[in-house]
Amino acid sequence: MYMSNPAEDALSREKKQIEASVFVGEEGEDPSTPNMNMVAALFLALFGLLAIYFAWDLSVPDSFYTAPGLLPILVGITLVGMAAGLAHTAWKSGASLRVLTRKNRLIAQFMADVENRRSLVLMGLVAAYVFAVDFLGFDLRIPLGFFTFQFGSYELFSIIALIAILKIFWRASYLYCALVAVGWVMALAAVFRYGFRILLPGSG
Amino acid sequence: MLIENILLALSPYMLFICLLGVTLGILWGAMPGLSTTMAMALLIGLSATMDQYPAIMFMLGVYTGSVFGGAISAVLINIPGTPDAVPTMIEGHPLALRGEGGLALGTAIAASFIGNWVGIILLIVFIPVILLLALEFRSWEMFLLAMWGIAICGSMASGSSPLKGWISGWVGLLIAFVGLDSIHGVPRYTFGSLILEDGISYVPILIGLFGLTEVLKVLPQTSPAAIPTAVGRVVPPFRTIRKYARSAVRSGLIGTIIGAIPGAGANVASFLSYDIGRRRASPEEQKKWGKGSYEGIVCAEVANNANVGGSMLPTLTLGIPGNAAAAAILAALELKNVVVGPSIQIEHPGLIYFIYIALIVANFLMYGMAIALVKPCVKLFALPRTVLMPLILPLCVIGAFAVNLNFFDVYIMLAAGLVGYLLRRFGFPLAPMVLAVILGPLADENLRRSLLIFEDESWWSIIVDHPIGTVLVFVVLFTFYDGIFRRKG
Repeated sequence: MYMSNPAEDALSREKKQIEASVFVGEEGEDPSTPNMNMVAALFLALFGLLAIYFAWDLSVPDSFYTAPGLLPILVGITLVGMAAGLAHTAWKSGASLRVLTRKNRLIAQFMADVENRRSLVLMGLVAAYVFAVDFLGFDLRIPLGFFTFQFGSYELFSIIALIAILKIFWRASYLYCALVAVGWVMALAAVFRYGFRILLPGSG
Repeated sequence: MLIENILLALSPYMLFICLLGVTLGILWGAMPGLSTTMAMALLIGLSATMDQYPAIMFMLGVYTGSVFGGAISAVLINIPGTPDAVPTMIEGHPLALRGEGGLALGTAIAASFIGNWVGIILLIVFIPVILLLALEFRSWEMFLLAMWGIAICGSMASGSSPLKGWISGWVGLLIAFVGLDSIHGVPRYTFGSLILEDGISYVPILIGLFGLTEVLKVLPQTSPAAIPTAVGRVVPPFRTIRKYARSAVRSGLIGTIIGAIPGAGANVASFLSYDIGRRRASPEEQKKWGKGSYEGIVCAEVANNANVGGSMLPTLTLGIPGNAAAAAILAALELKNVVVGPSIQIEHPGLIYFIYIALIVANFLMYGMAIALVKPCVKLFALPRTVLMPLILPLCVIGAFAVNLNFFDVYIMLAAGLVGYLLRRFGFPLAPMVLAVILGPLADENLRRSLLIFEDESWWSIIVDHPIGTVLVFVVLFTFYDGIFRRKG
């Protein structure tokens, strides 16, 4: 069975765009389906309404013209309008509101894609890494005669996170993953801490 | 003042800092998947530790180097290092397969050098004109300019669906409103949190959207292994450059003009210039396009490098970044208490001259380092992306933290990365959001000020007494009209 490669697909898509001389996006964003546009439109409309609601509640210390909520309300209203436009375009392209009632099917579809599962794992690891650096902060200082060697939570959790991520995505042996992680993190920490004299997150 | 700045820029320390920036930029740009904006965003933290002038020199070096760097992997391994190197890849890689990879790269290096020169010259010529005009800008005009910047960025960045670009910008505006409002000090969208009262810094947002999002998007993909190829001779014969001089000048103009339009980055410049170049090429040359054309490389590379100078034009004169990479320059300048805009010459006399010289120095260093780094870059390509991308994560954390030494910014970066990933999956561009986060406070404050000034004025007098503002109203309306109706047709 032929398995399409996302990188090759993206490349061939860009090649086709060039050949057709059509520029379709600065960021190289993914193409979305009408159903995805419909879901996005509904979320954005809700976001816009919440923005209006909270801006409406803001106090007006002076004239209406200098009201702190003036532009946020205008932006919220136009955002809801734009979301309606997006929903209209999606609906004309065949999207249906039933997409929201088939929540379980949507989730099952999302989880069926191996790349999506890998993305979720990666997001979880990155979030855990950031929380660990913040909440389990420590700073170890070892005097070595001419200078004091520092090792803190940034280094420790960066190394652990990198080893885990490299093991999952690179699939090399633990030794190689550890060598890359330790080498990179210690070099980075040395450049910032000793070279540029910047405090590192989580420790100092 | 000019002589002082030339001497300052040519001091050994400044040259070293610039060389460091250019080298990092080229290596970064050459790595597949690592974009110019990502390099700029992550290295703001590093520039924050430097003094004002070295920081500017460093960031301009990174900018100049990374825009070219994308061409190396595009030509040699058929993977564009940066998105704007796609046309270079289409023309350069077939040449590499024919054993002319070195010459193709040499042509790209020379074209980048020429492109930078065109951009710098046009920047020097047009800055005084724009500054003169910009001094006439009051609150109303600044508000409209900021809104036009976001509107056109939305249109340009999202290509086929401007609505999504504008939505991205509007979400960015709402993020920009978080914090104490600048006129009355009323907390907006802070939900009782003291830390949110300071507002949300756009540097961690920039790092999250362009650094973390890219890692989350690229790392889970199963991409093919990169295979290094032999390089061969690099420096092209002079006749090749002379042959394509006309294409180079045209592409330089396109690149600079596109660069000066907010949101239209090097991608648009290189795609547009490549397309126009193909249409205007001689019938004999046209046959080579798509199969390995040196003219195609010249068109793309001159344009994307001229874009550097072009993007600095609105950034320095109006405080509106020409693209996301220029937004990072703006952030680096702000960290050094440099407020760019119409009064830059008054508040920071001589700074613009220094920026000119820094761009020129960076261009010369880029030329030298590009030739020197071609072969080491081939070795770097042997590294799989599954190794490269994870290494960016600790850099994202340190980059977000280093700016204000505040861990809250790391959470902002994390949130921006996750939101950026979702937006990309749903087909929304990210550049308008960054631009809006930067321009939001400017738009908000100036709208309210101008409404207060206009309180007792009639609409007619507003139209007549503020001709620049009236023109800008039509420009903003036309941008929306063009995005909605022309693209439908």
